[in-house]
Amino acid sequence: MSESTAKLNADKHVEYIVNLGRAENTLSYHLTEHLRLNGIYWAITSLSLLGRIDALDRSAVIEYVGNCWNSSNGGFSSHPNHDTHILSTLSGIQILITLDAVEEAKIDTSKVVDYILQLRPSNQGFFTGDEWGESDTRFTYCAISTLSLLGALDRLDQVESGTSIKQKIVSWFTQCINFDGGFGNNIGAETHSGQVFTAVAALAIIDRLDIIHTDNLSWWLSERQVQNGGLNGRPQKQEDVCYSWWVLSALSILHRLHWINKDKLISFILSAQDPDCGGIADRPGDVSDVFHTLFGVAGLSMLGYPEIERVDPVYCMPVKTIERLGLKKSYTLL
Amino acid sequence: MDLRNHAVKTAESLDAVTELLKINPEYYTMWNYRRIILLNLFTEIGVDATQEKLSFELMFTLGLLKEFPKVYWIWNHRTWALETLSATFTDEQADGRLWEWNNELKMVDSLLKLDSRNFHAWGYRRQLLTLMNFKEDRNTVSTFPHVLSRDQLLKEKQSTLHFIENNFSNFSAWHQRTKILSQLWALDGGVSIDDLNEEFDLVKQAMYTDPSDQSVWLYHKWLIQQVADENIVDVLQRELESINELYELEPESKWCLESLAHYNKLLHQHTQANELLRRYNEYLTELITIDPDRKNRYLDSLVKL
Ligand SMILES: [Zn+2]
Repeated sequence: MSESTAKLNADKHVEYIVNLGRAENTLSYHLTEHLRLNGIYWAITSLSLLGRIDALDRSAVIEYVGNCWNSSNGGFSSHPNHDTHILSTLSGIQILITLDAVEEAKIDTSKVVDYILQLRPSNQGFFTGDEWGESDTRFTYCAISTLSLLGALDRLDQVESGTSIKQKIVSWFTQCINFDGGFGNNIGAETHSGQVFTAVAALAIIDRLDIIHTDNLSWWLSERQVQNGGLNGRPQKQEDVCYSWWVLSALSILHRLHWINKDKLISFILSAQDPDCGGIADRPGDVSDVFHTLFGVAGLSMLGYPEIERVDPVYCMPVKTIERLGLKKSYTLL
Repeated sequence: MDLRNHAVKTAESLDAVTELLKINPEYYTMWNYRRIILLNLFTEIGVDATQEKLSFELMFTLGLLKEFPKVYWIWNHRTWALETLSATFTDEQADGRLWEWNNELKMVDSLLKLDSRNFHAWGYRRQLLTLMNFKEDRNTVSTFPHVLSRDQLLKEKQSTLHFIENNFSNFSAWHQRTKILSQLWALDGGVSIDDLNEEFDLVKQAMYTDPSDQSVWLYHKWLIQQVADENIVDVLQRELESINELYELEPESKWCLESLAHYNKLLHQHTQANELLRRYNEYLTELITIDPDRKNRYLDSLVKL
């Protein structure tokens, strides 16, 4: 395919996303309840970057998010009546902040902050996903991002047996660093682009990127680009549109976004669009989904594709939203 | 869902949950509910019955993992079941516990045979090895690989070799090997040049098999980092020579060039010979032609002479 012919089919993607919300009677809709709030965040953010946030019913979304909030423990669940989890909690907050609707949804944010803080095992530098104790760099990112979005980052300055929570977090991330400069999901785990994003972005939020070896890690990240222009998550693995987010965001925060071939990646992302039903898939020919639609659009946004709003590589939210909150960190977009 | 809302915690509700999870193993709320039911049952039944139930959980999740090997929630539940089961064994049952753990190692091996890069399986393997050595004592480090015994490190070294020999492209196994050897050599108070050379031989074999496989070059990079200062100049010169030979056979090989560039610069740090930097720039210039996608990286890396 020639690079000049493929174009972003923005109207189709908006239509695709809006139709997802109308599929309430299908089986697959019910089978994805465990991801519903994340799904709405992916949808809202895609629409916002495409300049069409008005395409979803704002008050219906706010009401739904409100119904996912558990006022007794302070967390959000993926769907009303499901259990709370840190992944859905970050999504809930991201949606409400993008819609500037935290107050309208009548969420007591101090309870959300407490929910997050109690997910850290005492004396540890990581957060768990829920009370069952699974640990993963993703969850620590979720915790730090949520606290930052709610203006409660100073809670990490609290000292516990001699060191602050923030210092414990930095020390935990330091233990997760591998010889290739990257991060896995836990201490000892293999470097993975998705986990690299969570670590780099979390460290950016708490201003501790100094523990990262920038050139070493950026070298590894730029090697994720394969022959057809797409990016993979680990050495010798297949390319996938979502890595356009995980890899590019980290490169952007490390100011090395220009280390990959921008034009080839743009045409790879565009080739994964579904020309008939809209949406973007993990790779050309596959069925599209809202997750890959967001990460494809966000990738294009960082690469300076025309007529897409800028995405913030640290928070994966519109730049204008993060600027409104005064949380903008240093990064380079193309 | 109705059962959960009414806080029903009976054995019958467990069966309903089992059926539901077979259809939708991503339903994390049901996994949570399942654990709540089980924990409640454990207070009513004896140790033997508890162990039996937990063994069933291991069997149940194994079946699901064969079908859905990348679902976090299944792995998460399996970890819980294993940890809970391990805690039920008394000191007299140490053999039973060991049998269970070794059985788990075999289970992970079988899943890694289906997908040797599955990071969930590798993560579970590391958790398992950690659990096998976990000590309640707060002062001992209980993270992988520091917690492993010398014997286990040797075994795991052998396992990673097995994976690598099956497929040189399995970077997950090379990665695991970096962790295992680092710890083994730390226990031994350092690494001998013979041990290092054994690794260099292994990696050389892999390089010649497929010079375009970056897993191998990444491991080589790690290996060079392990060489002590008093040997580094000799080793770098030897390795540069050997990579050069391969480069002559494979003049299009990006990874040969990339490594020649990198190691010439590294050698310069130790010898200060300016000729090496001139060569470094030459290799980078060649890389711009061979690997234009990363042109800007090479341009940024050029040094002023
Ligand atoms: Zn993907």
